[in-house]
Amino acid sequence: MKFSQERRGTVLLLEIGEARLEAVNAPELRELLIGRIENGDHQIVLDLKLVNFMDSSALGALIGAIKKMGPLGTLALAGATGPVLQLLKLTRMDKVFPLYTSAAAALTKLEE
Amino acid sequence: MNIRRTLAILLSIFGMTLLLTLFYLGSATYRHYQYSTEQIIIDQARNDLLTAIIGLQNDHAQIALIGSSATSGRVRDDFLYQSTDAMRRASEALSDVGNAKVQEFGAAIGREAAPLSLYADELATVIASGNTDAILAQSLAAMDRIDLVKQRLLTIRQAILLEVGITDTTIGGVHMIRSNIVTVNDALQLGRMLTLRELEGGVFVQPQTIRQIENRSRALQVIDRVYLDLVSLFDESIVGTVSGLSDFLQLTYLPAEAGLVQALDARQDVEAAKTVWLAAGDEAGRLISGIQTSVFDGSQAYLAQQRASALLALQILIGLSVVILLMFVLSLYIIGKHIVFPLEQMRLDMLDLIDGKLEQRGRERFWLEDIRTIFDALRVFRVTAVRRERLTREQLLLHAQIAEAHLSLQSDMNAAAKVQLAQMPPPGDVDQIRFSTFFAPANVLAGDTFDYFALSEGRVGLLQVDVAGHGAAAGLVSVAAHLGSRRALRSLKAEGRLSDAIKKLNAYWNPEMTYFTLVAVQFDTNDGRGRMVQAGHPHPVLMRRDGTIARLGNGGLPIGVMPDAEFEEIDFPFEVGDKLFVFSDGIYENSNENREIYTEERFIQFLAENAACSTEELLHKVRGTLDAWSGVANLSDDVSLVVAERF
Repeated sequence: MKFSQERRGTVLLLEIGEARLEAVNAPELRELLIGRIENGDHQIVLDLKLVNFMDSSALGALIGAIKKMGPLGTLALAGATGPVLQLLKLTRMDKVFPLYTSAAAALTKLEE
Repeated sequence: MNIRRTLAILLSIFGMTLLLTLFYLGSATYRHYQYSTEQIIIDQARNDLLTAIIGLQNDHAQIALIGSSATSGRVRDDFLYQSTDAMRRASEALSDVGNAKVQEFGAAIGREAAPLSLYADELATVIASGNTDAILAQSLAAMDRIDLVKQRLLTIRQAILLEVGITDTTIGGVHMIRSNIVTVNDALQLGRMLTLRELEGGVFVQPQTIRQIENRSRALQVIDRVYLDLVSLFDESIVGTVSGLSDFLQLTYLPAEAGLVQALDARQDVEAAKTVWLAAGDEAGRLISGIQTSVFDGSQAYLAQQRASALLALQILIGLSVVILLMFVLSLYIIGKHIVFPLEQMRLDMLDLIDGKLEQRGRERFWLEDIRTIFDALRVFRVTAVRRERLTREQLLLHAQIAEAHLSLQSDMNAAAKVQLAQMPPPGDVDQIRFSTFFAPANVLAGDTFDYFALSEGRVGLLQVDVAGHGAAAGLVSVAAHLGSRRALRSLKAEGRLSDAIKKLNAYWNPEMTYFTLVAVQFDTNDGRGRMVQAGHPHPVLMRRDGTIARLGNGGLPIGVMPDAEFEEIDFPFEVGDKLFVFSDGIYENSNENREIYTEERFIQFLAENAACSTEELLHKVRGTLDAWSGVANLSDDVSLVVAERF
């Protein structure tokens, strides 16, 4: 799974480089997020602007990550559009993840 | 061409060359040995010939004196026998020699010997008769014959010399000494005979006769000098004693002859001087005979030595040949046993290895280090091959075990799938609602499941569950979600809130388990309405009797994400002719070959376009549409669709 990462102070920005997040790469996404959280990153922004499709397995990976993060950390989703945003809305993930239109917006919010 | 054949050809060539060389050397050496042997025989024959010639000279001198006072008393009757015997010996010896010409000489000598022998008998008979006249007549004829035979023998002797040649200087010297002995003897005997004849005339001898005796004496002296010079030219080991003759002639015979001449001149003591001179002459004859014997012994010894060295050379050569041939055979044996045989063995071993015959051949110990190394390598190859074969066998076994395990797993999965399928009701009517379904699992075990059943007081429950993923884990969670959801719906009282039941289901869902999405519906046939809770599941679609389409719900958290989640309960009309479509996301998230997903919008569009169709027809079209988009066989997610129709 392609991704890039950037550290902004205490915030880790992860940009997913895949067009699709689905069953085949969901385990990798899960591993990536869990790994970062276990490394002590408690403020993560996941930039999904390049992702145009996400299925329930990938959503499962996100839910697994937020459960791992616990109530004190933040896993924010940024840049979700189209079917990805539809899925997040359908499953009311706005109640679980902070959603931002862009990574910049998320960073601004988190760095406050 | 292989190594064995090359070695065989090379060794054969080498062996043949060796045999040819040995044969050539051997035959040359053998010829030399044979030649040495023949030289001895020829030397004996020559000596016999010399004996014959000297005998003839002596006999000639003796016969010449028959009837004279010098031979007073009994006349010898054994003339010529010594010579004929010697000639016969020479003849026999030469006929044994390989050279045909030499054999011919032997025969010629024999031809001379036979009549001479008869003549000797005749002469002896005449002498025995005592008839003086007859004896004198016979003796004159005998001298002529002796001269003739002597001349022929000298000619034959010359011819033999020409034919056989002088083998070396020693034998050349021997030959010349013998020739000179003949000359010396001839001069001596002739001189004696003539002198004796001249003394026959009485006590008074003419001065010219005395001068003639002196001249002959001087001539003998000259011949003797030549003889002495000649002798000193050659090796003394052979001719050591021959100078004794010269000494005797110079110191005894010639002074005796001079004494005789002096006595004749002075006419005093002639008889006494004559006696001394005769005795000296006899002694000279004996000396000549002795020298002949001595020279013969020397030449025989020399030739025997030559033959012995030739024999030794032959023996050494034969010995060497045997050793060389043995070495050659030994080399052949070593090359065969330690090179060719191992090579053949190696070839067979390699062929075996190629054929996959891996059983151990007999373990020979190899002598040559290189061969040993190659065999060790071969052994390693074999061990590796054996190991590889065993590995392959084990892999095959493992594969079979895996296949068996897979089969067993498959049958387990199939059994589980049967259980799962048994949970899902067949299409049919429940109260006044007709349920039609389309279900296409991506795997044997599905993450999707659905159920519908009658509740009390004209109510009918419907639920659809989608567990993320598919396969055994999703299937098991799916069954658990199915059971949990059904219990929640079944326990719902007519006046109870559906959302509370779902909230409770969510709250009690084990957080260790995968989350799932759910749509739970309760139809009330009494008042023509329905209530619905949507938990992360796609929006159900309500198709009214008039064909209008509505997407129900505002979404909601899936079950198992947040324990304290709240759920919204949606109320909707559901009258006769209305249809409710409940489906999992698999129905619109399938990708086509361009990885383009079908999308919910397209699916709702599809439903709107086919609102006029019967449910049965519609389900048929759903299948066709799925097939056209991505192929039902290539589904990446479970697809389930339940259509509830109020009648």
